[in-house]
Amino acid sequence: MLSSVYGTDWNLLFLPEDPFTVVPPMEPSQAKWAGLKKLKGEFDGTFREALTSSRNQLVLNWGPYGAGKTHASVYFKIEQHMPGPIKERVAQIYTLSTRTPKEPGQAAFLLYSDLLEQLQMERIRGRIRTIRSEVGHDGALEILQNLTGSEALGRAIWLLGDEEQEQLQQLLNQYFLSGLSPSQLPKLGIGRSIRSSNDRFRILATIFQCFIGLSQDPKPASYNRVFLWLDEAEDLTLFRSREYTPFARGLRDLFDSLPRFFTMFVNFTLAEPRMEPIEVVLGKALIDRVTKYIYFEEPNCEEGVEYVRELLDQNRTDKDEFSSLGLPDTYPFTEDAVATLLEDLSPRTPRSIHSRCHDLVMRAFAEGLFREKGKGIINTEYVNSVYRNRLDSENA
Amino acid sequence: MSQGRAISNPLTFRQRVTRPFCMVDTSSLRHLQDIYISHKDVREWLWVEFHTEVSEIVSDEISGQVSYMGQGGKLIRRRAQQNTRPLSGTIEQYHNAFSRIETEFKIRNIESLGRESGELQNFYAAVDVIRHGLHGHVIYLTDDESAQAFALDWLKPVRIGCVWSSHDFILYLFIRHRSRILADEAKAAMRTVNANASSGSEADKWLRKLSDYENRLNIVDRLISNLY
Repeated sequence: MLSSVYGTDWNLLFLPEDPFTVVPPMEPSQAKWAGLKKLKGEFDGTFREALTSSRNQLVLNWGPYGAGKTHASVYFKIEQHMPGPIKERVAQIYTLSTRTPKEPGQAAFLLYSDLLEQLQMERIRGRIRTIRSEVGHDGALEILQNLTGSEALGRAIWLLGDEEQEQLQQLLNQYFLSGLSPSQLPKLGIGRSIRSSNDRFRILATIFQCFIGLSQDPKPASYNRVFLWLDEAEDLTLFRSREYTPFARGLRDLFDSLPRFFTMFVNFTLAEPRMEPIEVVLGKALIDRVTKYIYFEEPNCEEGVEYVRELLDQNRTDKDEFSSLGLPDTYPFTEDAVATLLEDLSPRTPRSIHSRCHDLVMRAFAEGLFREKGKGIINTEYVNSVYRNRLDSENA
Repeated sequence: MSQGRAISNPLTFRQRVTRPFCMVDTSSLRHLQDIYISHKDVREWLWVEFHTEVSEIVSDEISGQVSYMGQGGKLIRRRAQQNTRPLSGTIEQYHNAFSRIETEFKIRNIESLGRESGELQNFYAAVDVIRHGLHGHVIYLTDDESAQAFALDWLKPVRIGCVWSSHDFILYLFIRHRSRILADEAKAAMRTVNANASSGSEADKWLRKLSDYENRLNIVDRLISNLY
């Protein structure tokens, strides 16, 4: 890094801050979608189907590191980023996102507790209460026991809908999230504890079903849709077979248990564009259920320039002043400079584009290229001089 | 540690022709843990299929790492102690001999492995075994990538055998006992070896390896189906 007397003030570039971050934003409302129109079209099509039909979807998103899979899971977490307005659509959406657990020995438990905490126990109680009021207490108990395939687990979920009894609800929280001792179980009148991975996936499926709704009406408007994003599925490679088998079976059973209004996105990082390794890791049973493959292809140079232009445009501040100066949309770069910058970039993923743009702008700041607002620009000559210098120093 | 000892226990003719000699290192014995094929700890198959031995350093390593060897670790320690191959000279003699060689091959420096590494002593012992005519072929079994590279370089001029990883051993068991081992059972074993060897990181690298070996396993499966 160059040491410099010049500061780094992004306002001079009509930008509030560095738009070239290399990690996805945490907050969905701050996430932006730039360029990559074909990819966006694939997602829009998937969401249109999800919002207007009952079909369950298993979508496999795959591509190299830094291609934007995690960014997509953050961006599409909120409804404003989905295509719309759409008539005859589901009533509400619930989006959950999680990563493949890093401790394979506790994978099912970690996934289960993460998803329950995202749903929030209070919100789950609310759903169970609604169902009990819609179908009656006895009817709800029967339905929940059928959905879980267990008298005890169904009853435990049903009890969540009991009117406020603080002590009972505290015990239930403990039952679902950390487990009760055998001596505590009789206080709830539940025959057994949550024992296995299979139990946890059945509970998740039942709770998801409660959020989707139990209506008999065929119209989408009578239901909600649950979206589940599973990031970093390639980490299943690191599971031993005794850890992998129950977890992969659990995911498959979860999908099979929710035949309507459920979408599961599985993000899989793979540097090469072959499918075989994915099948090895996810297993044929899960791959056979995939309803859509979305490949995060590297943008070509032209698409890369469009990506940078849109990214800058979406972040632009003081737009009137900016327009009056006649600066290019790609400012602080000339369009040719962006093309030159991205020409030999490999891989040309959004992350590597961000990284290269960031490096160059920081260098230009350090060299005093940007001292006044809207003055100074990174042109092709500047890009060439920086990269020629770098090559010269590498060859020296 | 290695004070020149006489070569002992020459094998019978039948043992020589039917069982290759295998020098296994600590990493493979760790990565093959918790895998059972035909109800047997897969590491036990090493002693069923091959005449398997370890160098003195590897034997000491195993004794010190029994708790990391999974279920059956004590049995593996006993096996290693009973099948420890001493060098016929001192370890310094071997280090000196190997270090001085400069050939047309790009032979790796022993320092890259560490002079006291079990993998290095395993290799020296393997050379001994062939030189003294005790066995006809050596399987040098290790999952340590530096050791594999070192051995592969030396095996170009020193034609004593081949280098295997634990993945290769599972593949061998599958072709050897295909009638008793289901393809899914072998794939599950391969997955566990892969996960054990990965130490929980670099998913991309281990994914390629798993995919490659599962592909090989499918080829073996199809081949044997075609044969019978």
